Amino acid sequence: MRFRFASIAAMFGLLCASSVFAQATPDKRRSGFDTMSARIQSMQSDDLQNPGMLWVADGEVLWKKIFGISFSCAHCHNDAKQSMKGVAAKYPDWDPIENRPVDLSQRINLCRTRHQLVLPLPPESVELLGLEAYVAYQSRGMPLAPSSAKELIEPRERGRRQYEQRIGQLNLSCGQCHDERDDRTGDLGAAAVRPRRVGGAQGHALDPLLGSDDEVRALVEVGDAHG
Amino acid sequence: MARTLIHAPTTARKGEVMEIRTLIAHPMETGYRAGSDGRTLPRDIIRRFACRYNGELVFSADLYPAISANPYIAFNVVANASGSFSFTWEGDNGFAQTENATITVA
Repeated sequence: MRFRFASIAAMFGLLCASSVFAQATPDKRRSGFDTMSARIQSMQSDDLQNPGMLWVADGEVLWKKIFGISFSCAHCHNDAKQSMKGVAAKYPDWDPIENRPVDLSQRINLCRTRHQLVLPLPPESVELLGLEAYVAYQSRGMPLAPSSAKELIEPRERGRRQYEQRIGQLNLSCGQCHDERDDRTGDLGAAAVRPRRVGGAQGHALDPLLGSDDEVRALVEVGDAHG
Repeated sequence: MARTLIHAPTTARKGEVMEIRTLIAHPMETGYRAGSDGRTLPRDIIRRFACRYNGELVFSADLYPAISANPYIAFNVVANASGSFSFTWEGDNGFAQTENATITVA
């Protein structure tokens, strides 16, 4: 009975913890876009001045293109505007078959080799960048929603160590610019709004835009609670 | 076929000044850079851009090697009649591309 009470109390505690986390709105994170001047914001909002939109247009064509004797992305995923909405926001994610974290372009290539049965596209090729840009475009303006896969805890920790590791001729770590000088944004909880602890040389977000280790743990715990 | 992005208004009042903006995908290889094998990469640039409004040349530009890849060109045109725009890019290695846009002037 005593044991049972303890487990109920533990469950209650967990529920409280997750509901507290769920109520942690409004989101303290901000996009770097918000810190730009109005002039730069308007420039960035103008798709026509952005050559990246050429790749998005490419990707839209490739989405419907039938590769070899196989089928197109649209055959399984239908309209990317619906099916890919928010998808890019959770990458890199864990791939249980490859047993490693994969980023969005690797996921696209895995889809090619597993389902379309065609060769993977070369890294950073025009086609792959186009598809990636098109898929990521469907998540435009959405906040990052990092995967809660438990397997990502270890790679994230590895990423954090690399991020904090001083390297190179100038003996600087990533964090020395991206974390330690983040007081420029004033008292808005700057550490929480700037990208902390992003991944290794591969680029963005092996780790989310999280404010503190507590929040990282909280996220992991919530992920655990939800199974 | 190179990819282009064109922003041109579809309707305008007579006498209105319209901004037209164009972007085309092109490497604009200068002819001065060395490739990975050390040999100079041959020049490959767009040499001329022209915009015709109902057949009449209203804007043109000569482009040179110092202009960046994917050249973005914006210019103003006075709306005086309904009709069509044609945008032409011409360059090295027989590069030629034409795109069209229509406009209704009230």
